[in-house]
Amino acid sequence: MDRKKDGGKVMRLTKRLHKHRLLDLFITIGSLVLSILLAASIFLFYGINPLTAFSRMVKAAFFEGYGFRQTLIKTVPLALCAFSVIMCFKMKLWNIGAEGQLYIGGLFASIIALRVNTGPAIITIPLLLTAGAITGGIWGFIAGYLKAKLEMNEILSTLMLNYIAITLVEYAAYGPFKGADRFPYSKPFRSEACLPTLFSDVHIGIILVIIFGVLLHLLMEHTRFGYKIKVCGSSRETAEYAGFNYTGNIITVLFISGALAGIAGMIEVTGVQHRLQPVISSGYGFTAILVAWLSKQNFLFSIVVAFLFGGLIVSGEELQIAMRLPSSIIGMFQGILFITILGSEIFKEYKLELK
Amino acid sequence: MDSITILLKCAIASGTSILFAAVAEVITERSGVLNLGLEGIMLVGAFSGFLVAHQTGSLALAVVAAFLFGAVFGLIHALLTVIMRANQVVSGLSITILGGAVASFFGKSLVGQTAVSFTNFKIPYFSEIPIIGAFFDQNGLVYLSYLFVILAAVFLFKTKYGLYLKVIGESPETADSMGLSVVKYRLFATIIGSGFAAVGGAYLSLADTPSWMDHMTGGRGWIAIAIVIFAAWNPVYAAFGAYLFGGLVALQFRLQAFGYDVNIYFLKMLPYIITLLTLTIFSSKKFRKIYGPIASLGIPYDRESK
Repeated sequence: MDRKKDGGKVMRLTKRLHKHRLLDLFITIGSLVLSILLAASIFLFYGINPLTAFSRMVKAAFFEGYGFRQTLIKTVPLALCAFSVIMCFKMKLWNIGAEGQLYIGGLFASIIALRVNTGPAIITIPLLLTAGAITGGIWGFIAGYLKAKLEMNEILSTLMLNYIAITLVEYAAYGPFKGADRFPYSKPFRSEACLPTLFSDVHIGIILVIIFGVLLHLLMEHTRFGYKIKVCGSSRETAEYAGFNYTGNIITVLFISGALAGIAGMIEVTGVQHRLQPVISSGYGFTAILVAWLSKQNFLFSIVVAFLFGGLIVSGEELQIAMRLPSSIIGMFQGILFITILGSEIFKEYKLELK
Repeated sequence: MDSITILLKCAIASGTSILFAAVAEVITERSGVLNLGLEGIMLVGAFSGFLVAHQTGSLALAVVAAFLFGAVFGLIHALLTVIMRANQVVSGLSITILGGAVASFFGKSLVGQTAVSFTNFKIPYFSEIPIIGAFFDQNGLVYLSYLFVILAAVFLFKTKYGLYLKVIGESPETADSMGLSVVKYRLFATIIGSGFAAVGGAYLSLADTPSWMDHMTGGRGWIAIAIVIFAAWNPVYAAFGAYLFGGLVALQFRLQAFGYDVNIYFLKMLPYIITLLTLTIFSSKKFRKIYGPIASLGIPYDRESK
């Protein structure tokens, strides 16, 4: 226990005996207020009225047609990657590799979309989705296999696999799939390989997210498989004593995680970009780790958090266009938000006392 | 100079930024704190070092500034994980996101600018020795890195305080009952480690490719974290690991310069593939017996829960 001498009194943290839900809420709100104040100081540094900036951000992300549609579109990869991370969390594994799994899923969905004539959309879209899921899953499987058989740290293996995946996509976009106009992207997909839209430019990805969210929730909370995974996550000894295949489950969980991120990649290329380009994701896989952590491993809640983060990304783009601020401002806000929330967590479990 | 000496010289030059970060992370992890913020902290160092060099024209000030800015980010990580017992993985990733964004945000006006940079100076006589001479035909920051490795190794293996730090990493309870302050040592190791990692970043913008670019570290922070593992938390091995990767980078340019037709994308992913393969070998049970990981790594210390 850390002590700070304070006029003869000692400041110390004592564990709270009971959990207070209302208090937890106040602490979270408090940390949000703190991060808003910090963000406001960045605007002041740039000589921008923070109130104008914030109202503009909220309006652009949630109350304007174009911005709201963009928020919905960005919710999709964030939520799917968050599912991918949460799936691993359930077994106390860290999937830092959602970004790479997304790239691999997007790459192979693109290759099929560009090179194989698979007929009408009703066949092509499910086929591409499966391709994205399987290839993304294989990327996750590699990390799972290494973890299960060799106890290799999955944080590092998934990280390294990210870089390999991103470079593979770069190679494909600059190399064999480069379009006729010599720019580093492929020719557009044929229309049967483009994800159908719900309205305007919003594709059906958001529906898929809700379906997957509900299915995963049911899988983890109401099936024997979900129970096994949670037991494995709480204690390896207990799991093995109960006769569960602990190492086998590591591989399964990482395969499912990879598949979910791979689907996100397939949706990005077929729903948003409609071609293969070197950059499929702008760090969704990394932001999703924080989304997953904030949603406390709850698949359904993570959709809401992903929606809010989608809004944050869109409002950052608005700041970039309307106020000529660098795009990195979104990263700053994300960083500030997480640091204040992380810092506040301890007060939910401990209280400061002067003795 | 023969070609082996030239290759070694290039390996050292391009490995030095990873060396600073990896050896710094060895010190931090030895105390039981995992700092996944290295990539962001290196970017902060690269940016702040370049900024100060650009404004003042002083390389010494630039390196000191990089160290201090890096240490500030280390302080945030330490406050969150050591004092407030936050999750070290989430905190580290947040630091990486924040550090990269801060560097990119405030560094926007520095893109395309020039600043003073480190230049090579040969150490007389030593630089004439075949092969080993490669170590003595480098810039000032590389010479500083040799000193850093030696000091880190002496600190960890030959001093009382280094021993205390290792005890804290292996068993904070034991250290606590010995009367050592787990909090103080962990704060120290995280802050100092982040400072030196930032110097590694500054090496990129002041010596390796003297300029400032967004995300110029290109994953070196993550490679440094991987090196720490297969260097078995030993600063000297970490230095060799860094040179190995520097060698890979140097080899890329060599092969292209000699007109070998090697796919550049393959070369680009080679360091990551090799890291993965090396980790595979070093994760095996046989090696695990020799190189055990730090027992309390990643676990916050809470005196009352024991």
